[in-house]
Amino acid sequence: MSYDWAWYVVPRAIPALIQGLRLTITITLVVIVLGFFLGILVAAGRLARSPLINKPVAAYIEFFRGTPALVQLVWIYYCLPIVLGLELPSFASIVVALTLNVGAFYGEAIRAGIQAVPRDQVEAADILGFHYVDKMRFVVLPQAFRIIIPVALSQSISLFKDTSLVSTLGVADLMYQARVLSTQTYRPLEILTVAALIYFMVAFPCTIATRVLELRLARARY
Amino acid sequence: MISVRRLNKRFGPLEVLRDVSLEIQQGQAVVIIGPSGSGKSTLLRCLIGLETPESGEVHVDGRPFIGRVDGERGPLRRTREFRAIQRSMGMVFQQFNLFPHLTVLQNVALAPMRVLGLRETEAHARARALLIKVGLEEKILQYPDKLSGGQKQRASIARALALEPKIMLFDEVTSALDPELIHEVLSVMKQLATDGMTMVVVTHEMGFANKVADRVIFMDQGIIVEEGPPAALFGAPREARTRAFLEKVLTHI
Repeated sequence: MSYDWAWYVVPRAIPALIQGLRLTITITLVVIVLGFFLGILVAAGRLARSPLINKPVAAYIEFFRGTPALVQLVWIYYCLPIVLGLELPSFASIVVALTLNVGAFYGEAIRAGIQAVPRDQVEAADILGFHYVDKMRFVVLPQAFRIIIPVALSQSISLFKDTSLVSTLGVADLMYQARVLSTQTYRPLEILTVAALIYFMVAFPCTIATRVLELRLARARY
Repeated sequence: MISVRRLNKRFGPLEVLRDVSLEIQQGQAVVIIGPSGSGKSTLLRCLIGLETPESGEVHVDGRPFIGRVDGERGPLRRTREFRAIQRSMGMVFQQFNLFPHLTVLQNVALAPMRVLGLRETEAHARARALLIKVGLEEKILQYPDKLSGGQKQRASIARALALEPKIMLFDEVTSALDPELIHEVLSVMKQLATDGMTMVVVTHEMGFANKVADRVIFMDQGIIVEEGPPAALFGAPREARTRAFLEKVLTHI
């Protein structure tokens, strides 16, 4: 059994794929920024003493961690307009869905990082009379970020790959372009291989950088 | 200066402090000794508000620090003056608890800047002077993990002093140190006592207690068994429990 690879279709496909990659990266970066802000709020809510705050936040986290991202995307894209009568442009709709998704993961990473800071450090700050915000800003968060950053980065790399799901909703990202080109050329194997390589060429250096940073942070003397 | 009345504290079923009452006068160095688990550290932590007792009161300078805020039956609470009073006390821990991501100078200068509102130059000048006082002028720009245990402990004493506390609490500050480093920390503490600082010191260093303390308190099983000037407590303990404890810790000298 043999397959005749038809690589000649690839050069003509590259410009469209690169255009798709641009949108993929844009979505990723926008969602990273929004998701991180959401994650900070989620961590704060999860650590809040009042069950009126921490219980609903915990439910949100578990819901978004326990259901497939594709379901979340589709649900927010199709159901939100029906349920709330709220019609979002498709870009906004997928940004909302992905932000809610990674916000749960970032939130847990941030919470774990904060809780990993020894109690002793908090007590020392309390005795020195720091207010809550100063205690967080100068004592807890600088130490927590050593733990949070590598985790958040690897989750961001997962996010970069997971954005391919938006192609199912007609958003013209890298994956969408690859699918369109596949049908146009009747050469899905070649096109998808190239698309996979493009994803890999972005994700792999980021993975390496994360690993280096992680080692540095572990070895660093602050 | 500090007045403790009938303090009770429990962790689950364990009664850690039982009706402990205590008066500490200004300028006194009070040393608390006793076996592990006798409640010494918990008492110290109650004095500075890191633990809230089940019942009892703590007054500092005549002002209520921890007590019943709403009537006889209400729960024990931090009073409105809690923060201001807490800030008038400094505490040094067994494990130093220096901030590992800050230099020694920053460790000492941060609270004066953020809590007292000093400008950076003023705070640094104050921190530098204190670090010179504890003999760390050469380590000012180092991070804590570059310091020996004794140096870390002296840095954390400087950090506590930077807020100009009226009372200093020391919680087994030499217990985590190599024997040859204990001396350098004790001599800083001795100097503080000579300068007239009000001090409450929990320690296993009987030599320090003997030489520096104005009063020695012996605690066991959550109660104050006996107290008195060091000469009396070490020379002629009245209680059998005190004698037994002292025999154990002093025989190997």
